[in-house]
Amino acid sequence: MAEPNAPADETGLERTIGLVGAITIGMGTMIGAGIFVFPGLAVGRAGLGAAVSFAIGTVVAVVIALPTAELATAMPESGGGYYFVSRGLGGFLGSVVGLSVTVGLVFAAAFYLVGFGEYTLAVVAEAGLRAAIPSAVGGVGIGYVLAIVGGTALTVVSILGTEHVESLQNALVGLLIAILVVFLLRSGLDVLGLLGRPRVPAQLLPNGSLPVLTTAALVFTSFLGFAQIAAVAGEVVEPSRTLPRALVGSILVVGVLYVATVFVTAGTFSPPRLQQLGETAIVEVARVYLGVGGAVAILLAGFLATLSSANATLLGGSRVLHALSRDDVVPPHAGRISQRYGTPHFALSFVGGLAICLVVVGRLDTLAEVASFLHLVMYGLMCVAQLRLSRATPVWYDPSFQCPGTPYVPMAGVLASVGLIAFMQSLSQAVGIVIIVFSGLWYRAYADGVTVTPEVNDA
Amino acid sequence: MPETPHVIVPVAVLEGEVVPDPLVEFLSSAPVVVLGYHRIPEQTTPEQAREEFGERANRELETLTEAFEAGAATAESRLAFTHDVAQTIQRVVEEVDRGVVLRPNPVQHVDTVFVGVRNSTLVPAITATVATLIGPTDAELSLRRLQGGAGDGQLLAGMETALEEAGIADDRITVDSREAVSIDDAVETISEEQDLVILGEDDPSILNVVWEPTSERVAERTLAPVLVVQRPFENE
Repeated sequence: MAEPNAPADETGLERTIGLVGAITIGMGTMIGAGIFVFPGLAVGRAGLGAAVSFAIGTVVAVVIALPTAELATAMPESGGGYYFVSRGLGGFLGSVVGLSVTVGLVFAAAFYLVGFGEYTLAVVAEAGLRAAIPSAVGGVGIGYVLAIVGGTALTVVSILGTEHVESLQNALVGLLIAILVVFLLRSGLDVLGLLGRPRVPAQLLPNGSLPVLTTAALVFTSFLGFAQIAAVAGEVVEPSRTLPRALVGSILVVGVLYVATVFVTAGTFSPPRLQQLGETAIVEVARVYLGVGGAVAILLAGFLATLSSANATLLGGSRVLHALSRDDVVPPHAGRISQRYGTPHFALSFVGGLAICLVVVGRLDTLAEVASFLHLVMYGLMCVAQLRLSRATPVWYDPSFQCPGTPYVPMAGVLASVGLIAFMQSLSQAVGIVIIVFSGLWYRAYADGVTVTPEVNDA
Repeated sequence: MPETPHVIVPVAVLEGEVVPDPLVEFLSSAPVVVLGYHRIPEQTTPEQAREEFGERANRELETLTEAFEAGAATAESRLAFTHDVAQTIQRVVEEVDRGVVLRPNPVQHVDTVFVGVRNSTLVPAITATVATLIGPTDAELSLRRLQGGAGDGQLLAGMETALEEAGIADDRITVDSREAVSIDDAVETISEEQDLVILGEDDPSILNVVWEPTSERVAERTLAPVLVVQRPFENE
């Protein structure tokens, strides 16, 4: 029987998450702003080719997910990618990844909040109250104001501590999928011509094939979050079977939903019209096929999905900060828990606060791309870490699942990560590089010499 | 006779919850697992909570466990930071194989014990629990059938015999062989006359998932400590 100071087992982690639960976690984090915000923007850029962009994203995510599953079965720690890279490749690269992905999560949260603001505004408009609220407050557009209000409320609620959010989130994922499936079935039949004339657009790639790749880089944000499944590896039943299946399964399911949504969107409106409709274009698509009821259902779904994505991202950021503070890469404050509320109040307000600031200055596509950039750097290095660990096999590295096709699959993961980054806008690349450099400097200035255990060289 | 049951004592360790001395003394003849738990919000991971509160929680838990060690055959301790207390208790129940979960309430002394029986399947486990805990004390027992389970009057007679065989003098045992009594009526008798209640766990059914467990209702309304005998895990 365990003594009071015994490790892991004592934290009270139950292995209670089965395959369905793990898939729900993955899908719940992924299906958020991505599917509700991007279709209009993506098709506006790449025409029907945007479906290919989402398919590329799906393949890249699967290729990265397989080495991730191996790492997670060997290191069931809540630090996720930071933990894998720091243990696989050492404290420096680990810290760069940990710090930059925290910032990446801030960008992602800001992106979700902007989406949330747009959806809130659309809800207000649908209710016929658009005239009742001002179009800007102090020079800031009303959509951004709503995003800031939403972000502030979310941060405060998180700090106060909530219960039943997870079960709510699970119910929400079910609701979202139900709404999407009904919407896609009805509109998909129509677009394919089974009900009325087919609407597949004549011009498949109105702007050539390059936008397909740049759009793939933009919309990859819709797949961020599959690694959340790895973060709960310690609570998963039969991890060697469940983790790879849940990772790949959840990516494939959302991939199919995304591609179908883009297909329907492209078959309904022309790219210029979609660019005009912007972030909430999919609401108008739903209105075409399912009338006001459909539009309202998608509006509510988008409103809830953007909020839940922002919430999940906020929590993810606070957890990475905790892992960093445990290894002394950031000051211990970052990991402290409020005595009063029992929540990591500093980490939550740091991530939430920065995200709110970014909402004001950021453009939606730049926010999304920077978030993807920083995550892709981490994913690429996770693949490298898996390559290194599976060769060096330190004694503590004993994965119960082995990534198939090693070393080719993780190598492909590295190439795919770099490839997607290469097709981003230069502004996003510049911001991403600045953050990476800053993370490296932070390590040199604050955390130089920090060693993490176990290291790859521990034999 | 089945092997000795473990008594699981869940304590909200950081909220200053303590186990009353008379209860500690009463439980001294059974192996005890002190389950110190701290409920944390979903925003916090168990690891994080452990780093922040672990030391203080361990100190509190140690004090509690020492009190039990002074009397009990064995006392173990577990510390859990959890989002779901019921789930954590269930995990420990499964670990100890034969578990009895305490729902503590303040008590001055344990002189009279009410044993409520609903279903014949739990009779051996309840009998073992009663024999282990009551055997070495002077407490008086009242056996009574409760509504909500199968089984007839023979149930209690068989139980009485088994308890006498286990060495409990028959003048300490009162068998009330009238019709099964409803929980509400039982609560009234218990509040007036009994110091502590021993019950079997509820049957697994959809209704019991939705409703508050019987033991919780009894604990809340009688203000007496309740020991809930869990179904044994046959497969382990």
